[in-house]
Amino acid sequence: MNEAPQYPKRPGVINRFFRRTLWGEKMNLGAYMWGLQRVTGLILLVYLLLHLYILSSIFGGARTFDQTVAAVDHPLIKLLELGLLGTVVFHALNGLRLILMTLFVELDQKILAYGLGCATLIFVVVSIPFVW
Amino acid sequence: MTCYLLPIENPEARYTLHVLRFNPETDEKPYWRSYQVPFVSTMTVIEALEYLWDQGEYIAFRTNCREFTCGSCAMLINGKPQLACDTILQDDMRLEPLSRYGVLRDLVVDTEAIKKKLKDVKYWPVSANREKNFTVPPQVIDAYGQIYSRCIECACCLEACPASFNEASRFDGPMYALLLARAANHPLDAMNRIQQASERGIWACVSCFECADVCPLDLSPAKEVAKFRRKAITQSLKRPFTFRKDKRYE
Amino acid sequence: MTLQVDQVYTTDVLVVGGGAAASMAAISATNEGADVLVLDKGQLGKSGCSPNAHGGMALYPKHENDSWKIHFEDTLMSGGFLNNQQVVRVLCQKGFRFVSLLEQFGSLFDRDADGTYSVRQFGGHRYKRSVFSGDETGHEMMNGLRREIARLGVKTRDEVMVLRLLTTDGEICGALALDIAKGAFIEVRAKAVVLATADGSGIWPAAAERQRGDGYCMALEAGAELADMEFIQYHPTHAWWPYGVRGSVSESFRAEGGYLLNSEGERFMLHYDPEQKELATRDKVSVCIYREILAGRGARHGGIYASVTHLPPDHIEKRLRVIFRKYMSYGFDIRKQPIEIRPRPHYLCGGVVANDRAETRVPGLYAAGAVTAGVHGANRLGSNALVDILVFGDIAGRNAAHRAGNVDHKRMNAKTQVEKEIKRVADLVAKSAIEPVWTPILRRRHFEMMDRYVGVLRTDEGLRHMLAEIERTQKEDLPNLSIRDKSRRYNFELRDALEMQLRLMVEEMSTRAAVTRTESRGSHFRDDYPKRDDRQWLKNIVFFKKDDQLVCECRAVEMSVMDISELPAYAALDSPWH
Repeated sequence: MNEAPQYPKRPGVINRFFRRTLWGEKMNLGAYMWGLQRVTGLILLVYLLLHLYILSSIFGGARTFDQTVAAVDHPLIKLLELGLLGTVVFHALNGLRLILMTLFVELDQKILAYGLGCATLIFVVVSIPFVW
Repeated sequence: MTCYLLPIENPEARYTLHVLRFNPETDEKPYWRSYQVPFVSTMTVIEALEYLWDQGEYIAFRTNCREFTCGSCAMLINGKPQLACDTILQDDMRLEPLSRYGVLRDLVVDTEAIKKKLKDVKYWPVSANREKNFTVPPQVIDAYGQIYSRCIECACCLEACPASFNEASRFDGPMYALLLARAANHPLDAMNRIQQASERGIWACVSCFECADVCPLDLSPAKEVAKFRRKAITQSLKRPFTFRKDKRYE
Repeated sequence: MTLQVDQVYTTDVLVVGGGAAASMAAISATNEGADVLVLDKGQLGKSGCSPNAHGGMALYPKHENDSWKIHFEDTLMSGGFLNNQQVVRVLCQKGFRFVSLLEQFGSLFDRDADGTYSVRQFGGHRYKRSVFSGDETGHEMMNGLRREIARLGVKTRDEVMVLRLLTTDGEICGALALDIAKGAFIEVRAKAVVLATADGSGIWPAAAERQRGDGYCMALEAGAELADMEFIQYHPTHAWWPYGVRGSVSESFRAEGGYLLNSEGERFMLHYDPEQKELATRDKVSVCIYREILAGRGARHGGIYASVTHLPPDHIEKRLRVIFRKYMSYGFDIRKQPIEIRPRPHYLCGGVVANDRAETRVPGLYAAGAVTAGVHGANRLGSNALVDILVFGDIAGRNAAHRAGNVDHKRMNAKTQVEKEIKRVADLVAKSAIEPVWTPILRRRHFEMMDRYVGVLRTDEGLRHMLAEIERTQKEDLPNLSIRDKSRRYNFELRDALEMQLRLMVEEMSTRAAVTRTESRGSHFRDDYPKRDDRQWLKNIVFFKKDDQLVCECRAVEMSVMDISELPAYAALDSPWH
């Protein structure tokens, strides 16, 4: 019924969230979890490409592959690997959490979220000796 | 103005209020304006705006009931969608119109899209024989009393939902999901609301519970979405491959 | 501001208003096959007072001894026998159908374990007969009505303020409206108009102050009569402290067993009315509370205490969920602490005179809901209003649709009326007075004065003072009334200024009627005439316009269904303050 508003289009979710956090309004835990899920998903995608790239050096012969593997054998890379492990576990557990929350409506999302955070941490700490 | 009922002559403090103003006739761009407002304890944002009206600053905003039953005064307060009548005034508050809808003036937004969509989702009980007698199980009465009757359609949750950007999004938004659940629970409703909800994009919900966080009445539309999803899963488990072909809907 | 009519609608039935009565009228008229247009000053279903009606609908005679007759008697006793008895009979007989109708539309009301509707008792009712949904009955009612409006696809326009009803040869032919959203004028050609606006309690500092009495002025200008304008009902329990809490604390608060306590912790209603206690009618409780406050037994912030702390907590959370939540959001737990309340204006019982077919004196003009007089007489019973709006909304819609089917569109011969009205708005916008008067300041002064002089306790002196003030305002202030905001869209300042011009008319009628009535009856309580005078004052005070002059006339009440002598209980009903 009303004429088309002449207001400049205002941005969507990210700006909305960003602005709110900027002005001191806290958001729900679930929103941060959702953001983390997206970010970890992107990291996993990047890792996957990297992984394929490194594996693809096998086509250059055994020597090339060995060289590439030796090049990435670096303490920093080990650290990154730990981070990657954490990312994978977080992403997987968070997905599980969402499924659980759908199936059992009464579950408390906060407990689940903190629980999965702890589980990720424990997993990473426990796997330190195996990675090193 | 009801503001006059407050002992506003002897305020406890003076607060600053920032309002994003915009008049399509005179302004090219929205601009921020700051106002000084006296504060008496438990004074709400709507009373501050009304106080400004009394001072001659006619900021356009919608208001009616002041007791969170009409849901017309939803706005972004410090970036968070809230009802102005439900938010106690603080210093340095920033008021903006809802960003999901076009702004008509100052804090008034164009909510015609909501009406249109409500019509689209058929939020009334759809039934071939409406005159028939029915019994209502007590848990439905309870659900209505605790959840469905209380939704005031203020559009706060739509504003907060990250899965539903605008009215054209794949997911309609939390409010519509809750209203669908209300209709589905009505004893006269004969429509396949689970199918409808699936088509209306409940699977795009990210379960962030932002809607429950901002709801001025502490409802949880995300839970209704989860209930719909669970029902859809169990239904398709019971009758695999028939779910899509179900034509009872409509 | 463009100074011509921008848009012309042609429709069978025009419904003015946006609450339950308007929705019901629109639904009924549509079901009868008429083409309907609804014009609403706010947003349909979100404006007016229907969504924040808390209490219930008195229409379900659950008790075996209860019948329409007893409901009828209760209404008359509360209304001081000034009610239009034909109208009350229709109200009491036809109410019941509407619960199931609303449930077909999509509402659900609370039920007991055996599947029948739960009922609660309101002040002045002898039996429990009010169907409810928690304490947001009005909201639930509007939920249903709004869905039905959407389902039927009724044409509605939000945020359109009707300025004037247009008449040709004394018959209604349409209306002129101002679109607040665009600042444009809309002319509607209609065969019948249903007036379903709110009452005028917003000219007092009421809770829902959107009720500015526009409907009264429209009807008066169109030639209808107004009656009972002196009876402003004060709602006894209105939130007072914490200040931020707004609105009335519903009568469900007392109906569920809440106590009223003075500063000494004493249930003072036991002294005033040992029989009905807190559940006496609203007029009585209001006066009692005022008496307590004036006697110095008020609470700390100037109100009186109301408490439900003796009730089980889960009962409070369920049955009083709105009040509970409302106070909880200000950090106030009504399960543990008493709240402070004070009587505030709630409902203007008078209004447009309409018969039991919802017809007014003007052919083609129907009135329904809070804008009408006659149903509630001198004092409204709690939970009668929601039945009133449903029953008469339905009747008005039906009759309007019938009329629309039988007559043709009148040749629009109302050009002078349209021009006059447009000129009024244009003058207001263009005016640049040397000593401008701003609406908020004027309004605030009138709020305070109406509350003080035409409030719960009235005296001749105060009322005359108010009359003088109204006259002065009309002469001196109104010509200088200006607005600063000249823009077209959402010009709320213009809206308020237009309302300001109208409200003086309502104020004048209320005050004049209150001066004229030299007795105390219902919600009209004169300190200088504290007795009820049945011999002289079984009369309605009626206003109408004759040659542009406001005429006041006293008219005896017709005892068409029940004579006053048939109800000895009424004669024995002696108010505690007499």
